[in-house]
Amino acid sequence: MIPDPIKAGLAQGWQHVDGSQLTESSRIKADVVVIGSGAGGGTAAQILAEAGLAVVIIEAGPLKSSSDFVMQERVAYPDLYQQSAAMKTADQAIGMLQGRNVGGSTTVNWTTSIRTPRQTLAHWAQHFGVEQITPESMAPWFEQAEQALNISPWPVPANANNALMAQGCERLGWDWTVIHRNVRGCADLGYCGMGCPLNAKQSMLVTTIPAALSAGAQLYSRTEAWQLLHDGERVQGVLCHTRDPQHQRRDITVTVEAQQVVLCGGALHSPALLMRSAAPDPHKLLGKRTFLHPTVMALARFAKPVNAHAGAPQSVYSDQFLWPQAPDAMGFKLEAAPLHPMLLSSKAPGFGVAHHRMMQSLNHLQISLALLRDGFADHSPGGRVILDDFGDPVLDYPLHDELWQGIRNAFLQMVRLQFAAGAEAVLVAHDQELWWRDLASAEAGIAQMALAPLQTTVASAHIMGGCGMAGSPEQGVVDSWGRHYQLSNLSVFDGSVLPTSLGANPQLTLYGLARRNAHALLARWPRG
Amino acid sequence: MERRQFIYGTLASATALSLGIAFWPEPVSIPAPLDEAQQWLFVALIPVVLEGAAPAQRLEQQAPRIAVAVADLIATLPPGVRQQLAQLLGLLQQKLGRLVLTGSMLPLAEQQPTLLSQLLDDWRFHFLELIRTAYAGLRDPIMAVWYGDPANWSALNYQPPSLGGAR
Repeated sequence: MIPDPIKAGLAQGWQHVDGSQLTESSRIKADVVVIGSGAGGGTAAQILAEAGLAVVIIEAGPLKSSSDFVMQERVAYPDLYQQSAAMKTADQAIGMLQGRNVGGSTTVNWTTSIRTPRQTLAHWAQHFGVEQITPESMAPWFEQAEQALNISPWPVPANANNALMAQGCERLGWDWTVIHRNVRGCADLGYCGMGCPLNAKQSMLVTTIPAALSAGAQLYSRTEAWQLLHDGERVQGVLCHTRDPQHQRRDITVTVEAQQVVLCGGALHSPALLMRSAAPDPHKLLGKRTFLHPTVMALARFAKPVNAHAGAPQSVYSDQFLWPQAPDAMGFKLEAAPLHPMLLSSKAPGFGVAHHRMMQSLNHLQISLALLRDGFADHSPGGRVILDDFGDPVLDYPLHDELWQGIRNAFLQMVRLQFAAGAEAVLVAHDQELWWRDLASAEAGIAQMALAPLQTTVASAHIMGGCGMAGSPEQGVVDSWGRHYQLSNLSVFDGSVLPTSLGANPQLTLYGLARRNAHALLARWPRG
Repeated sequence: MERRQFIYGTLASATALSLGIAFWPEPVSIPAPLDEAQQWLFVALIPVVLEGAAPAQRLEQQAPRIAVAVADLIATLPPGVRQQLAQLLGLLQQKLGRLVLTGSMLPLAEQQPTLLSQLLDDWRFHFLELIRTAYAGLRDPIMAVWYGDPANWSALNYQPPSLGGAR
């Protein structure tokens, strides 16, 4: 029998309230309220609770655990993802995957753990005055996170989906790297995106959140931070709305009064909470410069089975094109992805007979992703978070010309990689639905392809920015320690503080920054 | 499904008012999940979107059940997303909107499958983004429901690993 550490902890007396079960509104008090339980919130909650502070964790999503993780997309997506994994940008042109559960996106990510690229940190120092965050100053925090979450190079041979990517790189003389993963006792199943049924993934759900609860923290799940109660200088409390099991808001509230607020709602919901709260924003920066890694995909059919649903979803990547020499060229990272039927069928182009024929070849498909590194040039302002009629965040993210040029180049390089690895035929995810059987045809086809929103499939699992950090309040919502420039007892420790996209999967950056900033918060805490 | 009207007036706690906070947003009603006519729109489209995935007769028989699952999926989405979808489906139910979007006054549910297939094809390559949005909004949930159902995985030779007696 696989142990379920969450059920065991609850049986031992962890303090958890499922907001959907509350029958009347209530008020509670704490030293610190941590909003969100993902990479930033989980990390901060453990550090602050273990230091002896009274911590309340507020999480809009449900508390699900390994007993609930049945390796089925139709169960996992409504349970664990924002908008049942169907979230899109304002014009519907980009699909976005983001966790919404206790553990946040760390419960459902593919375990790829990469330190913040040196070039990205140098860019932040030069353009945003974030000079204290360097590879050297961050090294101890990354080392701590790597040790705590067992992050290390994946020692098991890559599954065929990833191995073919490595083979293609080898044959073309391209850079490639074995991915570091946050797993312990991983059985190489391939269902990380649906919640790890073995508790092998060292997500916040099975590491920092249990540690925080064991140290006395209180967890409110299905409880959404709706509004900060503030006077323009300090936050007095947080008004939260509970949610029903269908993720709809209820009028039963929980109000948390706390000395300190640590906001970790992620790059859509943190700016949205500040907007709903009419938080001071003297330089009109809130919600601006929100970035994705706009991601496009190429499918390749191989004669031998690939079984891209089985095995560690991501175990190699290539940075061959991540930092192009031309200063304005759009760099991109190449990675693989797991192929499961529900997500593939809705992201792959077409319908009817041709679509189903593609689906029938599922086990022979290799998939390559290109994650575009947006936000580093003057013409890359990214997107903007706005509130809809109901107060929910919507991301307006225009796809500009430089992105389309980057996408076309990414398609070209991905099909080169796939043919070099021995593909029989390739298809880039675009509604033209053309399978090319040789490289010359693919190159010619891609060169003249009419790329357009809602015809070219674009998605992203990484949402960053919107409460950007900077060396001055004219440039940032928070400083480089995550402290809000106007609300003195509010800190932001999540992906919303990133001034650009990262050029790497975000989780390790967020673990490192949250550790650093939570310890700094503790050092500032009044002794009494 | 339990439906609730979210009453924003409850936000007006005395504490918040004393702090002078501007409340967001004004009260708005939340659209209900699919009504019967909208479900029948999906029922008409399901055999077209999934053509080839199973014999036509089986798709037609299962279409009402799939449409219910689509409605269940939509019920988990935030109110703003449901509102957008409701507006699109409302447009398709109005004669004038139908004429603009489909070139025909005939309800979609009464169109022949071959015409519906041609219509979807026109929509996905349409020069107006709104119409390409309609294509994705109708196609994607049908795909998700069909291919998310373990009963349809044998055609793909897809099977998650068994954890046996471990759970």
